[in-house]
Amino acid sequence: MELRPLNVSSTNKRKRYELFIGPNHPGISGNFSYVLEMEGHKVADVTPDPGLLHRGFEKLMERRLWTQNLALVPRICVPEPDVNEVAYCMAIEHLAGIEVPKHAQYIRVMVLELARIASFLFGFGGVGGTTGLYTAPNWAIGDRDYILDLFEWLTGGRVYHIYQYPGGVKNDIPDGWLEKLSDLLDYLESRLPEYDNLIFRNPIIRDRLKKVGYLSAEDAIENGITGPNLRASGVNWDIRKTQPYLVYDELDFEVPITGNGDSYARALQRRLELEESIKILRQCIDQIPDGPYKVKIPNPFEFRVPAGSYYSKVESSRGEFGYYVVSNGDVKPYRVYIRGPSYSSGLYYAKKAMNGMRIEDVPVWIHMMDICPPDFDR
Amino acid sequence: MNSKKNGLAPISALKYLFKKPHTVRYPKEDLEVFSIKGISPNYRGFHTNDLEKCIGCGNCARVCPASAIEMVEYDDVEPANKFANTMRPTIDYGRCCFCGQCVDVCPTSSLQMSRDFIHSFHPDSSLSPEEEPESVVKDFIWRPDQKHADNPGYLRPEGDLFGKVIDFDRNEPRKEAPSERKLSFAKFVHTYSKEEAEKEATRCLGCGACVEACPNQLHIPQYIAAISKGDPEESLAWIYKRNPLPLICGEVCTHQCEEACVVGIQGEPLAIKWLKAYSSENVLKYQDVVEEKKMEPNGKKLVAVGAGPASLSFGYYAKLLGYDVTIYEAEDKPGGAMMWGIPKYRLPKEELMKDINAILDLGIKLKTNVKIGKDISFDKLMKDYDAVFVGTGNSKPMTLRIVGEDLPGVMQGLTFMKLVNEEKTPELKGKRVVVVGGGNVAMDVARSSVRLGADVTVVYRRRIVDMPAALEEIEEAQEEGVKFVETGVPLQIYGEKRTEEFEYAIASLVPDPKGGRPRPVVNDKSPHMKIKADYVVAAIGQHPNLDFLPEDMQKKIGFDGKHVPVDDYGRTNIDGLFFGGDLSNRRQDIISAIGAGLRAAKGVDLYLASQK
Repeated sequence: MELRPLNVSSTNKRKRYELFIGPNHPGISGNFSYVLEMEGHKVADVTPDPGLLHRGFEKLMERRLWTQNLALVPRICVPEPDVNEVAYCMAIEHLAGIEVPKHAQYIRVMVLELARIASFLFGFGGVGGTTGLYTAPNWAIGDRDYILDLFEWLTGGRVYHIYQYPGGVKNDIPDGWLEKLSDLLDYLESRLPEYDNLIFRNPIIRDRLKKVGYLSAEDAIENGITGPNLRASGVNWDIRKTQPYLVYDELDFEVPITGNGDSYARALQRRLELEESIKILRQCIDQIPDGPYKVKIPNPFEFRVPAGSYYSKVESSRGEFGYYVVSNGDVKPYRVYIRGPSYSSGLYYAKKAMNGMRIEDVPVWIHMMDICPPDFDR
Repeated sequence: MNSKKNGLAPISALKYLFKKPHTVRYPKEDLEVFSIKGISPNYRGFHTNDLEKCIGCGNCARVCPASAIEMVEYDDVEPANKFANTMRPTIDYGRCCFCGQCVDVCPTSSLQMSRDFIHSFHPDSSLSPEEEPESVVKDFIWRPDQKHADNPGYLRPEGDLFGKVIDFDRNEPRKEAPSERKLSFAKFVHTYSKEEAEKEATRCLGCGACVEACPNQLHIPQYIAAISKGDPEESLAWIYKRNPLPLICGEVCTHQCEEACVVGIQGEPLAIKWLKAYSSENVLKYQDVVEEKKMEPNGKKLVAVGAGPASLSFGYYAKLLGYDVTIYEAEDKPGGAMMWGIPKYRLPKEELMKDINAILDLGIKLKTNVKIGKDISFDKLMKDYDAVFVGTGNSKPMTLRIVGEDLPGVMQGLTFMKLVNEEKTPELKGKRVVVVGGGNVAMDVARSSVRLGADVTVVYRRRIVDMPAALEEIEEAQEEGVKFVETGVPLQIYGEKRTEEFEYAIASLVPDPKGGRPRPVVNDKSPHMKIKADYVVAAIGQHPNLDFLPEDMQKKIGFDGKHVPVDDYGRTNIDGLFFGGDLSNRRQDIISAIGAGLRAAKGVDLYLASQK
């Protein structure tokens, strides 16, 4: 491979050099690269280098039937594929004026919250991975697998579920699934103190994460950063509360605000939100009403979404996941634009955030911001 | 949570050294979470396909987002029904993404998914490097069958209509109640409104199974898709490519397409006929939307005998090819059996004339009240014109051949219908009418008589289920109060000066050794029944009348009293003489006649091109 020429500054006595984090590196969270310009052990400048992961999803979607795309959209995001399916379906339903039955909406909330927990657990793994504490990823990925088991039972797929459909979901909840979910929630709850002991009370982790990558509330808003990262900076903003979708307005949960704005606050924020997700799931198990799991829509070949455009958004584990869907009344979408939550943080804010950062803090920052490269490399 | 800093807290994790690990050591151990052993009961693994149930419609291949399914023709499978083919889905597992959309859309529920997902193979090491990739490909692409069926996974079993992505419920057009509609000859089926038509059209899967079933292979998926797009004009343009009598077919076609419709296998088929009526009725002037190319006049003259659907279709398509067409008609109005045979409540005359005028307006000459063989000799036609098309249909009624048939009050079905359409029937109010026969003409006679106030009984020699008439005609007739006598064989008509009583025997049905409809057999033990009858109408079929043809010609073309043998293009043994319509078609309906006319127009073109 040919290296880029070294950028030698004439004004600075100290030599600058280029360093790649990614695309193949334990410090990066996906097939993506930051080209760091280093001055000693500090980052002087950073160039995000997307494109390695680009699969042309948005253009592919324009060539496929509305419902064919449902096999495609979950692949945009590995850690939390369901937000894609739900947001895409919600946009279609809004444009076509389809009313989703309550039963199906509850199922959707359960799927979303389970996916959020799975994604948070993935994030715990990231904490350990970037700080050298390898017990955390082993635990977290193992516990995440129990969630995948339930997904496999409900949807037939472990990671990519292809379970949502405009008008509802594809199958009803199998017998015995809710009991197993309840057992799993008990188990996860019992594991939380263990995670606290291992990660959040751990002096090494605290020292490595605290005061790293401080993000002020103003900066967060200015750069369009959403989700747990925004709340960790002290801004009370959660789409589930401010603009409730599905049945979130019928559920009782709180949005914790840590507010310190550093990497530790962001990690803690996710840990606290995980507890709220468990709370939501327990309510869903109790409250889920009987009813059909979908309403029928026309068959895939003749399903025409009325002309118009709509931006649907879902609060994912990383922030606002949005689908801007434009229809011209045909059997295929005219345009689908996907707004991934890492788009603002990983691509634009990274330039500012990493400036002056020490090299060993860069992976910590990446993982605590939960940068997911497919969000901007669609 | 307790987030107090504590250096000893992480040490507590050491206890897990002595606990059972998360890992499931497959295959020695198994997951315990599911209700069954192994992987999820809903797992989307390799496909299974019931090859005997699969009809080869190809909807799975069309819906596949990964383009992994290809329809391949096999010679070791049998078509599942008379409209099915021997194509079967063949799946490239190098492309399949196991989303299950093919299972959701399968109209027969033959395609399912299993829980089997492990596939390994050993490429033949003796193969040369050039051949090896091909052998690997074969291991990835295979035709699903019942191999994995004993381990079912993601299923849409038969009967799970709600789970399928197909809309199985038909939207019937609004109809007048039987008590209302039997009072007059007004059309009682309301053509779809825009919303109704679009709703019905969106049920179409677009697979085209109907096209093969249609005697004239109309572009059915295309014209239905145009309706669901909200464009009846584009829809009509598609219909007109192969059918210049769209409104007539929309009202009275025998709609074999609907029998083939794949949605009808588990649900109710699309109302293809009514959708056609919708398009045709919503276009004021057909020629404004039809995009057919019209050739320059080539100076050649063609003639068609009889202005029925075959001749009209022949005239239209020959005119497009640049020929000068003249149609001779013995009656004073064009349309043939459509004009005189079909009652107005099924096909209003103004709708009939809308279709016919659209054709005649192209510049086709229609000469009515001209009887060939009497006013003009057939030889003269053969001499004066470059080619002759005969589409005179069946006009010689079959007779009952029983005693009393010559009594006044006994009529033939078509004669009766002509009187109905001319509004010259005798007073039937309160009279008893017996209709003999079970075809569509018999139903027309019976239902017309009901509308004229008569008390009607239909006597048929087999059961109602064996009747050749359309099922909906029979049902509607029953709703309107027509009485049916099954297995009734006519014996005699009694009466002094005119018909008074009708006698028939109740036959026993003997299964046909050839597998056809059962045969009624009357013997000494058969009970005899008598009913009062003021009129007896025999609607038991009709034969062609080719008396206008010179006898040597009849012999030469092989006319056997019922049929004229022709080839695909309507050609006979005589150069320049073409036949079409009921005279030569296997099925005697309007759409077959239109098809015969279309093909004959091509045949004439080929013939005259070869004459140069």
